[in-house]
Amino acid sequence: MIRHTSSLWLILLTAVLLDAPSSAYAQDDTTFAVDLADRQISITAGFNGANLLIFGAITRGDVILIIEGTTENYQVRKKKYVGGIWINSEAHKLHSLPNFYVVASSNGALEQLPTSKRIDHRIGYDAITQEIPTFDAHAREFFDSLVRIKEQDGLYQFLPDTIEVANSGLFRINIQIPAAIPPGDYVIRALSIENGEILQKFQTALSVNKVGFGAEIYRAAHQYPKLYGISAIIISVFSGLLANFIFNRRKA
Amino acid sequence: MYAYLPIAENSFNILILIGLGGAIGFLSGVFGVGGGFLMTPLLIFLGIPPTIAVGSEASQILASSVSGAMAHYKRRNIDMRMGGLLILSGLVGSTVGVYIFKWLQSLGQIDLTIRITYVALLGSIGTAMFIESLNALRKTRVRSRQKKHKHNFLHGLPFKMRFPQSHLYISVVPPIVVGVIVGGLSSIIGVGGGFILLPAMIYLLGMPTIVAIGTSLFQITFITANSTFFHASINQTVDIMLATLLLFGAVIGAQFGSKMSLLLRGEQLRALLALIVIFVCLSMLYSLLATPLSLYSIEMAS
Repeated sequence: MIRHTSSLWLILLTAVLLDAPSSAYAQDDTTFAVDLADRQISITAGFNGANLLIFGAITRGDVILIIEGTTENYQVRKKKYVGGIWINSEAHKLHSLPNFYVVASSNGALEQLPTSKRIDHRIGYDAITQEIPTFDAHAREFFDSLVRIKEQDGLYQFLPDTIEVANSGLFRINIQIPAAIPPGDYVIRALSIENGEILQKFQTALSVNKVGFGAEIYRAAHQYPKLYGISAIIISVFSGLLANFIFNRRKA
Repeated sequence: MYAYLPIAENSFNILILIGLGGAIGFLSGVFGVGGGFLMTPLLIFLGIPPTIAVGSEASQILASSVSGAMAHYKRRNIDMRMGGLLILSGLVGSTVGVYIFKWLQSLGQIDLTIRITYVALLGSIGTAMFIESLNALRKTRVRSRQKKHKHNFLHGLPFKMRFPQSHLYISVVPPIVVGVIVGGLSSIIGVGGGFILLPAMIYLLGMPTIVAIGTSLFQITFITANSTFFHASINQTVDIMLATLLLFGAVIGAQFGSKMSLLLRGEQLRALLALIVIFVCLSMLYSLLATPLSLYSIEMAS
């Protein structure tokens, strides 16, 4: 993977170098490119999270990166002290929130953008759901709690000023992908920013898939639940008898 | 080393899972119980969602009880008529239990229900066992003549049936009630139910101990198979990867446990088991009473 990455680096570096003279007299012709070291994350039997290396080149302005998964509705529950024990007693449903959301930026990039533009481009937690303008204090409390829980699980990450842009215009960032990442399709967006304006947009995809035996188990469990149930019974009975057979034989 | 559990959709340390299986298997070998009542709470403490802990544990208990049931069948320790009655009522209980489970889950109260049920069951059974074994330890020398079984109010109930293997002529109502309750518990809190079934059969129904053990294993095999099927087909919460890892540890642990059990006396074993049961009960109780680390929890909704 390292060799693969460095060759991409070379290509990008060449692109920047080749591009540099032309940008001197062509104002609009700026380089902005982003790529991933791996376009696919495979969830194998021993999967315990991954590193997602995102890198690119920028010749003008600052950069913001956003990674988003699919949207889901969430039920957020709050425990209260009732009759001496802690019971889930309040619930609030939040609609169309990404199951995974990361925003990262180079130094000072986020502060440049006015709130309206951040909302338009879904940058920052306050832009991830259209429900936010309608929030009262109650909804806000539940939303903030969801964000906090997602952050603890590594499924939401707010990483301002973490993208280092070198003098050459090359940048890179390593995003930690937790083991509990939901399988599915992810969209990675990159924006280049200058003086509070968005110069260029770039979009690419990342897919997270279960592979191998685990993928088969999940597929069977969800597509053929009855068959899966019967197989689970057969596997259990068989392994119980097998274990018994092995140990009793050794005793004899 | 980590194992990705495909249904739980998260990874857990493989050695911890096998070690947990081994520890519970050891205890079940020592005490002759399935250990589901210890395993399910520990899986929840580990961070496995309660729904998946309960569903997967059903299939693991099935695996660990099936060989015991076979052995008792060969030795003719199973009261087929009583077993059949308990299974029929248990199937009703465990199927209804899976639906109750789903309903409580949608209300967000399944976690609480599991914990409260554990505290109530383990607390009462653990205390009763502990007192009984202490008395037995004190009075081991004194032997009083006993009837085969005591006659209580249950013998006045109608619909009597003869159970030749257990030397009983009793109403079918108490076995049916016991069967439904144990079946329901198996689905809702992820236990085989041996720790309820055994005392109920011995003290309530008055069955001979060895027949009670054989018959309860026989019943548990069928009931956990039923729970496994319905948890898989209705809730999709059976993680066969998790069950297999736990089982792998459990069969090894059980071999050492059964050797250890030969070194201890019956009353001592029961007193120790009672202490473990009370300990699990108290830690569950603590989790209900103590201020939780986070007041909020999230789940996906439709």
